[in-house]
Amino acid sequence: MKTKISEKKKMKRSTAIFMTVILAFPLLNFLVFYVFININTIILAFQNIDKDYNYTFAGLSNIKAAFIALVDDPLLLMSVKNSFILFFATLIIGFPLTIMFAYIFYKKYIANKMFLTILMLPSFLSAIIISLVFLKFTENALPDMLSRIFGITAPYFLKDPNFSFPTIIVFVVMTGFATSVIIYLNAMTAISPDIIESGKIDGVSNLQELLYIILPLVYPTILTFTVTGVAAIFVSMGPLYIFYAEAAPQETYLSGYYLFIKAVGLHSTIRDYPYLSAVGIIFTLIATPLTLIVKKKLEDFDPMKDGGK
Amino acid sequence: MKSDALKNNVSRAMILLGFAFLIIISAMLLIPILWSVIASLKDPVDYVNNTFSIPDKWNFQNYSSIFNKLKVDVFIPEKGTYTYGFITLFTNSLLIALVFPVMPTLSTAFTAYIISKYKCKFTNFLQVVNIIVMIIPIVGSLPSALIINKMIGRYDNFLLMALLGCSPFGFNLLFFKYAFERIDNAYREAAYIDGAGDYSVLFRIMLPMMMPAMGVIYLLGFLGAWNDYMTPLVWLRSFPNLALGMYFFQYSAAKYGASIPEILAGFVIVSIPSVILFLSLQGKVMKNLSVGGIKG
Repeated sequence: MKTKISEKKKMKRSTAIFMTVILAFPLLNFLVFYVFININTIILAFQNIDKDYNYTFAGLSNIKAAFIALVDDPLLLMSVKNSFILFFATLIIGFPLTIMFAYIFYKKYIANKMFLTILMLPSFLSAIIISLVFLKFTENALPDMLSRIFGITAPYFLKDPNFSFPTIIVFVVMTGFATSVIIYLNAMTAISPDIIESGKIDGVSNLQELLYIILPLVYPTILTFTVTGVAAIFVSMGPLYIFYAEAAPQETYLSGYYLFIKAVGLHSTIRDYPYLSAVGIIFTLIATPLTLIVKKKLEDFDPMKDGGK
Repeated sequence: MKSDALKNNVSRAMILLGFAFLIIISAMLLIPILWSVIASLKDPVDYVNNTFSIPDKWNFQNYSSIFNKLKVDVFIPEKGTYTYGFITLFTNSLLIALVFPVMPTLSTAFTAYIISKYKCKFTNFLQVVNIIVMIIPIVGSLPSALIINKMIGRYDNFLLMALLGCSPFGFNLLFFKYAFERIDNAYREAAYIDGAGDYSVLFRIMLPMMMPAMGVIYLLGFLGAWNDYMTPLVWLRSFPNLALGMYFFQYSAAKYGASIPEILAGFVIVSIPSVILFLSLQGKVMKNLSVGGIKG
């Protein structure tokens, strides 16, 4: 009996050592490059850096400056507004289209592979190449094409203030289908054929099959994408840097782009880092509860959950 | 019967509408790309006079001349401006794409193995950490990351960039966990009965069985790294790759006498490896892309 217990203890200890050895490097990287960096972001927000790169305690001055900027700085206000507009545009336009395309591929109508490969283009071609091709096309080819075919003088879509941000939205939506369509398609394919067959026997139409059978069963995937999309509202900078480098017009600014340019742009200085960290913390404090609320509401809405609506 | 007919008509209309949007989106994606390939075969005068048309004369030499003209001026903070040619950019692209995905793939796979096969409070905690990392948005950490990475010498250091920074948490952990859970525990149990230890089970049984899944993640990492411009732009200025090079080249093209058709030829050349790789392994990649949920 004693031998059995000590053997069991030995096994548990050896398993614990094994787990420690295997997890040590990954978790150390996580602790340094995620946890420590984020803790340092919070610390940095309460500091000032002088011209000799000395750090001094700044109290709440950076947080105050960030709050004032959120109200006063037109660039920052525009960034926040545009970030939300872009998110809702991808949700309202992109999500239904993604589901529709995944469903069409799932049903294996004509030219499946061809359309799927075309939608996947932005995922295997460089974002830089896709964006630069789109840039050159809208700058040079599209005006020529519209004038030849329709006889109209088209604006420079990415430079005209009335068209630049809508053009960015169109670009982000149309290049955003790639991986999400595949993941939804795989989720639909994983549904048991017996369930689909029962639906057919009961005489459901394609629309009913999509709404009442498929969507509830792929709901976990919908939840994952929606929640991570909300979490990324203030992080995304879209194709702005590729289209405009550091000279994006104000009406196209996104919060990710604002923070990026201020941190690594040609005119950025380390002395701005505390203020930028403070802005980042405020964005995090807005986005975090928003993300958790959306997650909770979507989990409550789960049609497969008991008592779900 | 009438309601059945109405139901079917609505369904048909939905599918047709979906197809209509699919055709529109496909055209919006394909037309600029096809235009850029065709325009890359024009001479500069033909391009200016007829931007959106078939070339008067097919100018294939754009593809050879771009190799000599592709020179990129890159400003490296605290070091100055350096000029890089095609060979250096291509070599950097290959090195970054081959090397950078290795540690993240292994790190995530090992963590997913422990989480999926060793159920205990700690591994449950790690799953919660993964969900938190995925859904809690941390904004504005770039300044802090720059300070820390410069402090430890990782900034602009190829080796340390490749070896470190591979946190295992994120979508790929869900993917690997799901893949490991699909492997029958009978294989492990049989190995333990035969006297194998934890290390043997991991390296001689589980990892070989996970090769297809790891291959998918590595391949996606390779494509991502080949096409990545952000990492060389922010973290590895001394190692610009082709993606970043093409970006900077559009600003320095005139200085080196390159025309827009030649720039477009450069775009096509840069895209060739990723197109070949993707098309040849498309089926495997698409089949293996599955993600579980983050409920909990």
